[in-house]
Amino acid sequence: MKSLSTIINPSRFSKYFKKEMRENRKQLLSRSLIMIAILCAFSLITGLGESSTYNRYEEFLINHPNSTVDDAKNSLYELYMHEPFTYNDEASANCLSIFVFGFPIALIICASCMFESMSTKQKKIATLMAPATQFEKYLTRFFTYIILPIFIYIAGCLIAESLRFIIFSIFYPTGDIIRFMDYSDTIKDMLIKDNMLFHTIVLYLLSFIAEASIYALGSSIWPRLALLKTFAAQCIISFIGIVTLMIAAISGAVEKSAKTIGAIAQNLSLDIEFTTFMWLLHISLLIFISINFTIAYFRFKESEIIQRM
Amino acid sequence: MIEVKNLTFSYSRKKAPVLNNLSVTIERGKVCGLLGKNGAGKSTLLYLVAGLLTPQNGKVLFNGKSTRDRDPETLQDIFIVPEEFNLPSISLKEYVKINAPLYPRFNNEDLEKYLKMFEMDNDFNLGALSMGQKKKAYMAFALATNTSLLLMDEPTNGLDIPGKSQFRKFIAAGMSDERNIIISTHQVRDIDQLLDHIILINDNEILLNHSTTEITEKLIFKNTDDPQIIASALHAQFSLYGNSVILPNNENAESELNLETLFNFAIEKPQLIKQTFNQSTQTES
Repeated sequence: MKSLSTIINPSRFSKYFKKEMRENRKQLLSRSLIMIAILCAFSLITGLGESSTYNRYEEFLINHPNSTVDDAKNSLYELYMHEPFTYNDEASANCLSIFVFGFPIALIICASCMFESMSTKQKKIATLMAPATQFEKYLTRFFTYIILPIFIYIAGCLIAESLRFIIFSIFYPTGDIIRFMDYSDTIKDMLIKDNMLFHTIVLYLLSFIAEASIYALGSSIWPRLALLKTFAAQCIISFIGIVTLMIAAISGAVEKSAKTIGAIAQNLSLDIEFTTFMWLLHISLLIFISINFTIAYFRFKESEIIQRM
Repeated sequence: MIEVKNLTFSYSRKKAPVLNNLSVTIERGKVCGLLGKNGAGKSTLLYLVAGLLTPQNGKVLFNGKSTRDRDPETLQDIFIVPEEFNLPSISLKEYVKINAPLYPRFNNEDLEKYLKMFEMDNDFNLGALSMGQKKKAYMAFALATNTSLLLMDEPTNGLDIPGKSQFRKFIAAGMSDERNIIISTHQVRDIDQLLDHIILINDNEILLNHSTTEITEKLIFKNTDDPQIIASALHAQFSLYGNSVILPNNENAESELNLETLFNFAIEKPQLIKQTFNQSTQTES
């Protein structure tokens, strides 16, 4: 049996990791800065989109010096609202939506770069001949292109939101119109009270990590233009799947299968609770993610300097 | 020691094998020249030795371990200088700082010595170098790693005229009894005085696998215009210094190996060269 050091050795891994990070630092830094710059741009554009609303609040607060921003909102919307409600900075909420939907895009782009060091013969030779195990090399890439981007993305969101908050606070200093994103209460609720919200968010995160794992696998198959090629492959597979389902639906096979599955479930008295169902879904996704990353590892492990499909 | 055992390799199942049932053993302490025409499989053999390709059959053992396994201990002891390579845009000092720890026998003084041989200092950015300078710096680093096996693919391509003679001195300075250097090239004039052993590949097989001493013991290389000698030669070709001929060495005469003439002889008369060396091997055994 192989000893653990033939798979991973902490000292060797750290030397290899340092080498990869330092040799590619310019590229990694420039990509991170681009990601942060895009997030900042979206954040500022979102703020600009709300500027007419801010102007109205600002004007109200100047004209009513003893009022709060909540009073301003109730006064401005009294024609439309029956009950008083508290003020929320809409730009902050819109930014959160952008950050949430931008997360999978960023993760997919990063995952598709996971094996870009195998895109040319020269790069392949340098990667494969480096004195480290293939697992250590894989782990370095996994950390650099899957784990690290998540933290950079979160940091980018905070920077973008801070920038929006600082810049718009300068232009709208009155009252409390510009607010920083604060979802600490929501997170607390999610973790303690709201089971459904917790499961929805976990499902959301796992779905996109699963999508990223597909692109990482794609990158191990097509290190060059992995993003486009994996996307095309996904489209083709989806198209084939949809066509197959349509044919099955037309021929009545879907209805028949549904009835059979329903009958089996009824016979087995399968009465799964929502929480159990969601946990099963999470576990299935985790297995799917693990399979994709494992296949990607073995493809990388068996790599040669020539491309064999 | 490198043992290539019954190696067969093809780039695709449909294509004919580039190397067919090839077996070679290279002892330690040798500078080995891997010669052949374009497309003969020199670089392929080099990559197979490095474990960068998977053979259809056979294996390559380096100190008893298969190189295809790519064990880190094996990789620490092998360095390959490909014909074309990328270097990061960082200073040499930084490159050494981050790469040298991966090679336990790396010696910084050796690096300085080899760089001096190429008339280079140690304070430059790798991204700012020309291709030839990059090659010199990379080869200096490769030799300074002191790995037991150094593989070089067309190392003199891209080197300037002084660079080629510097290269010969550089290899001679870096050679020891504990290491093997395998040089794959078709530019035989650049390395002919450097080699201890020659492996000549042609049409998927090894035509010649002998030390330079063995070759000069069996063959005489000379330049002559004497028609009688030319007529009796195993091989003759026109050169600027008269006709370059190869004669059988029946009288243990000493001559200097002419690699270009030997190469042409082997390619033109493969059966004759095989016969010459097989007969001698059989007689010896």
